Amino acid sequence: MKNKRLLIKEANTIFLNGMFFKNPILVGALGLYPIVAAGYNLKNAVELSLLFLFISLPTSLLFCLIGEMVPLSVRPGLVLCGCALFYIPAAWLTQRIIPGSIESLGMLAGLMICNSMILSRVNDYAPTHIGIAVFADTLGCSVGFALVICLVSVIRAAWLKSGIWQTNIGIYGTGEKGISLPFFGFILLGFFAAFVQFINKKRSTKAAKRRAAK
Amino acid sequence: MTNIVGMILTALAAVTVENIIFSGGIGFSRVLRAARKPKTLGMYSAFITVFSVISSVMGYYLNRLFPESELSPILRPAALAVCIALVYILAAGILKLSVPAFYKKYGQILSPAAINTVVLSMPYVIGNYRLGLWDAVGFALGTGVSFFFATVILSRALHQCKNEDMPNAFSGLPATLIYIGILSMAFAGFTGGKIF
Repeated sequence: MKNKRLLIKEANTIFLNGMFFKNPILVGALGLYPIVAAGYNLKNAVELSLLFLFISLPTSLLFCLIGEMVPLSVRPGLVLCGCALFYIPAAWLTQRIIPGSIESLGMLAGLMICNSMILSRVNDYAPTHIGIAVFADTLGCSVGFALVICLVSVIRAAWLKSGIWQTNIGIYGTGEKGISLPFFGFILLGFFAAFVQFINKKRSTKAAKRRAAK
Repeated sequence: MTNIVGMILTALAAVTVENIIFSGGIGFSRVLRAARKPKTLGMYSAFITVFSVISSVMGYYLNRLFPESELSPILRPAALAVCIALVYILAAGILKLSVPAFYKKYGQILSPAAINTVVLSMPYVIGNYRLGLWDAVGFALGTGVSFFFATVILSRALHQCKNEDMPNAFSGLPATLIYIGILSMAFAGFTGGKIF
């Protein structure tokens, strides 16, 4: 009973780390492309978040089972194959949930296969951790990815003043509006990363004080 | 001769007005990682260039195999990724067996240089720009060069972005991201907006 509670507590910490405190986008600068290039309306953000979850969850769980059996030199290649394999049902499912999503995303959808955040979790984290940790980490990272891309999208779409669900078509939106271009995404991400760093520094100072008091 | 001139011009475009790294925002997580290790930066960029060329040539032929249909947006990316994965496995195997010392030294950067959005984006870029085979090779070469430039610029910037005078919250990655944003803004001005 005590072990079960401890396991749930650990899983909760892993989930929160993936989602916020050690968010791979804002702390590790992983998987930046979809956020800076496509995060200018909420529709794109939701579609890519769904795609991220549907690709990363099964691939992580698969490599949690077989990852350590695969030689290190071959593993990245097999991870990419796994992501490609799970991309097919993931894209089909996303298309079913939001019709026309994969066509409108174009290369952004295809490039989710080699999203560096998914690759690093599947290649490095999943093979060396137990199933529940991998599940919590993947779920946390997926929520973290969704939070960041949705927040970036809402800010950019609100700035574009034409609604937050679907502002325009094409990969980079309307060219004349700089807010939909990648550079604005990088600047926004810089501020978000600073916020997370600020919170983490506060936490570590608090923890150090608590330890000193003991 | 015309092919070679076209290839050089496309390579120049890939470095300047059609720079997929700065103007497109593609591959920055890899650029940042490469920039952190200045000693392997040249080899990292060389690997990226080689794999980009292979990917663009493969993409050129694969694009013809998958005509536009309802299923092509789902099947084509998966097929491209599997091909690149196979190329990586083959390259790793050949290097490991034929030049083990080289593989021991650079094996760690082989997989991130082979499997990334820069390499996988090549077939899409070729499709979007409707490039011929020679132009596709030129674009891949130019992208390799722009990757090298980006890593050189960032390897210097990374050190300065940890400046002690900077507010603590912005030191390190946040400052680097803002720096990349400003550089990308300059390239966006150069490109004139969207690149695809």
